Amino acid sequence: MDKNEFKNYIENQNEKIKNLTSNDPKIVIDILKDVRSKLILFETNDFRNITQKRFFESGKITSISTLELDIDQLENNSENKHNYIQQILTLGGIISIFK
Amino acid sequence: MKIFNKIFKKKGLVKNETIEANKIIQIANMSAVTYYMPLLDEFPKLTIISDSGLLDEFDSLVTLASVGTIMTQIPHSFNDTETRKYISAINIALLNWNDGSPKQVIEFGNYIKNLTEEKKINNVDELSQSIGTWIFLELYENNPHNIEIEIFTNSPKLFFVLGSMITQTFSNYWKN
Repeated sequence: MDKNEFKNYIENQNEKIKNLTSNDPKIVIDILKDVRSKLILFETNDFRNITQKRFFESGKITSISTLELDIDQLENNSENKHNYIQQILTLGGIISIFK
Repeated sequence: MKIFNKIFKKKGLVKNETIEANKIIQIANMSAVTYYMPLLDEFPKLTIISDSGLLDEFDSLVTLASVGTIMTQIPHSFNDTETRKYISAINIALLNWNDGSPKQVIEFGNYIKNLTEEKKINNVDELSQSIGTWIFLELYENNPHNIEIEIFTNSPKLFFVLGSMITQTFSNYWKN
């Protein structure tokens, strides 16, 4: 998957998230699994050097809308790219959606 | 079970414990999915898990360890009657999620209980280490033919990091 394909893919995931009519965890889990499956392929080239510390301190997601990836940010540089993807894959905040 | 849920929900009779139990499984499962990529960044050799087609099983074990971690806190958070209700509801939810999972959660619980009784778990760090150890030992025991997985069975740092992800997320579950 090249950069443009990845961008299109993320836009599609955004659309799915925007169009969610409920906070059904199963749907979100499927989206997370799908993003992860693409990231695994990307990982060897673009997503190294993420530290443990950064992961634990990464952004908290407090509502379903903040799961949306910022494509402009993704475009800017790989640092932002992985910050946002970290945000989607981060643990703590997602949980608050369902509480 | 889904039919029962629908019927009871319609009548407003779904018990809080049932709703909470289902939520716990889904939250644990979702968290499990989020753990793999950061772990991979820290431990690149973990690609063996995805390359070997074991990612679903890994997700499942992490989910069960997370649910088990939540369950171990129930007796400290509720009275005896409520504890029994929650444990029962979570077991039913686990059964609906995956037939074999209640048994695995019991095994997880016994593993942690034995280590605690042997005074090998005295603090959250040691608990984290033990949780991570259980996950990787189970993964290897379930896939003994996969000799590449064996290299992870003696990786204390990996166990600690994965276990810490779980304890940081769930160690105060009932207080939230």
